Amino acid sequence: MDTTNQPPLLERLFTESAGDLTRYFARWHGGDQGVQDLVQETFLQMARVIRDGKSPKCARGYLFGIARHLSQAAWSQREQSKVVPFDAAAAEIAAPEDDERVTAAHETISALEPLQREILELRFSHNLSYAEIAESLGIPIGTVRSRLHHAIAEVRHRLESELNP
Amino acid sequence: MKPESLHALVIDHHAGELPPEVADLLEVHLATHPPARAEADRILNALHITRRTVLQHPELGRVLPLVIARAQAVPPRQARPVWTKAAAILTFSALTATGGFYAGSARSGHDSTPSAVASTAPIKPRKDSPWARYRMALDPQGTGMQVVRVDVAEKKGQP
Repeated sequence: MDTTNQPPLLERLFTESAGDLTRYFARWHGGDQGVQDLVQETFLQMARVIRDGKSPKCARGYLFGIARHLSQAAWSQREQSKVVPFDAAAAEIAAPEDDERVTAAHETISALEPLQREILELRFSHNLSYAEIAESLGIPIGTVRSRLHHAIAEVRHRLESELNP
Repeated sequence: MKPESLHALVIDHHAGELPPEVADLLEVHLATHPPARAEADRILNALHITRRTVLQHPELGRVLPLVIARAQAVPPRQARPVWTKAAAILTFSALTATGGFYAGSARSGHDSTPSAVASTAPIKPRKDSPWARYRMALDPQGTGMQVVRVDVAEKKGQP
């Protein structure tokens, strides 16, 4: 691999995705300093991947895959040690009151399988493309597409059956 | 166009995942078919509610590896009707009762309880055993034990 191409790729990823990753971690953990540490750790691991000569098909999706693992590990560790969240106040910033449609949708989405909920999160909260979601979760693009379609169909069915009986 | 196809196309179009030529065709179709347009609006409405819900509830997207592994590893359990469990219990009870009944019947003529063993009644040799014709006895000459045929002993008037 041409080493002269490594810094530009990492720089480009950092420019494009640092803000998105910060939002991603903030949605998981709330916060501030801890989130920045996780962002830095994500780019550090990505730099190692590039240095080792690996070339993921979708670099941004791969980056979010690293972030996902780090986030899950940090969450598990925090749950085990029962430490206070990084910034509990920040986690409660955007919490407008739900209307009945959101409540119904929430119940429907809660009942979906974990993979489907992750797809919804990555698509709607972080605007990842199907290819990026697929790379991040390690699943085929077709699975991303079909699970997303199914989830929205479920929500629609629930809304129409409950709110317009 | 089938509703399922429209559903998939509208969502993919909203996500920017359709090739430009397909997106153009879809827009033309929706512009010229009011029912399809109305259906597309309903799909988009569900999509916006879903998006809003996901944005308002970050906990929905927090999935830990343990949860994922459990969801992938455990096959969905098929709910068995109650009557299958009841039938299994009844079958087991019937087999147990039948087996117990026959076992009890077969043993009723041969009581082998300790009290029967300890009975003081004289032991009569069973005729169907070859050892029934012999018994151990002290040698009258004092040389030790000897085996005596029962019928011979009776002929000689020995006890």
